[in-house]
Amino acid sequence: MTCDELLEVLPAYALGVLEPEEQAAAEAHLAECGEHDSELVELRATSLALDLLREDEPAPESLRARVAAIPAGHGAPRRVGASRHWWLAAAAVVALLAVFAAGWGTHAVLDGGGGTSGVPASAVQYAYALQGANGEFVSFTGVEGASTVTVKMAGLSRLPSGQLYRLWAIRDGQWVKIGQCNTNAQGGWLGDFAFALNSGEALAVTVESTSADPQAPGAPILRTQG
Amino acid sequence: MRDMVRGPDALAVRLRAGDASALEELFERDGGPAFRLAYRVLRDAPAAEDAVQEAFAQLWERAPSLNTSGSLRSLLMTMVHRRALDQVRSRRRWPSAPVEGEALLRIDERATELLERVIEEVSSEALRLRLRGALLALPPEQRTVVELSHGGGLSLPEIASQEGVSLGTVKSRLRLAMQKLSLALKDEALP
Ligand SMILES: [Zn+2]
Repeated sequence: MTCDELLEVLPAYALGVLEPEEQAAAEAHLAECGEHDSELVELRATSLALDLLREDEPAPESLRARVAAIPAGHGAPRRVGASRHWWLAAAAVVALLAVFAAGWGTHAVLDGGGGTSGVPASAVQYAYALQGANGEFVSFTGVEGASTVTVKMAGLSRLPSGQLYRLWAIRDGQWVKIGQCNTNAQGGWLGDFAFALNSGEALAVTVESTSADPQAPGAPILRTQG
Repeated sequence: MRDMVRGPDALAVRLRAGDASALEELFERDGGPAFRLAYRVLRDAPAAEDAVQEAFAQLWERAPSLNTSGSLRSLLMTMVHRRALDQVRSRRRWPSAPVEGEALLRIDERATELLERVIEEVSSEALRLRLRGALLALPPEQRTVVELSHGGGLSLPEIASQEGVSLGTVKSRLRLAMQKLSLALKDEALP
């Protein structure tokens, strides 16, 4: 990508709407060429300023409930390991996954048809994994009784705009939304959702249109057997 | 003309007095833009929700000592932006976590002060009107591209097919539009 070509796409880059390949090319150019920083700062500032004008678009309903709960908890209802300490929690989870990986083999749960790994109800930490026939992998890890669950996804396709992955717990036959996300260009995602998962709950992943009813699940692409 | 000319923000006064319903009203008023701002930085809806919730929780904790003569909106937006950047930093320390737009994140971090000045200015009524005016003054085809890409999250090829024009045309419309909007902002907020 030349400087002229970069200038063509810089506004879209500042808005964060470039396609992954073009974004990677822009990134590569910006990493080597320092000529565009001041223009990029201006465009970025303008982009953020435009977001502040979008008053007519409400925040997600799930967020409204979380904010409304703040006064009752005196500001306490934050997710576990928030902000700076989040990566420590994530590192602990990976260590945990390594421990449970040994157990998975004996339970023979990661078979091609999809399966789940349950941990004993007495365990303080849990780790569930869904695996598809084509290498799709989604794990749910966390601490029993905590208000968040860490989800790691790999081997899935990045969905086009207008679609997203939605994660569900099946609780007493009801599908309850855990959260939603899209993967990066490499098919991965890692993050926390504010959701208290109970041990033994079935789990599922669906692909949804952003305009679809957020409470009505489509056909699952991955789910717990049984 | 800054917000403080109109006197203290009634919501700020109620928040300082510990009125929980004021927090909900603030969310009603500014929650949408706060979420958009966090989402623009993080590009991940659950993470953006976390950033906004953390900012609101922090605001509630600090409410008893809130300075009611400043702009509550600008304080909130600055807090949201900082919480979002905190998340970007923590995500980066986790090597396998997806971090997209590395150069953008670098700009967000390096230009934090400038961006926060912009956030503060845009939180004031005068600059909002000015920027809104610049948006309305754009030729319709340029405004459409801004609205579809910035607001609608459509990619440039998607916009090209929706508008029935070439990708090059979409790129140049967006570029012209963003230049004009940047100029409108620059007159007051940018050095
Ligand atoms: Zn260059």
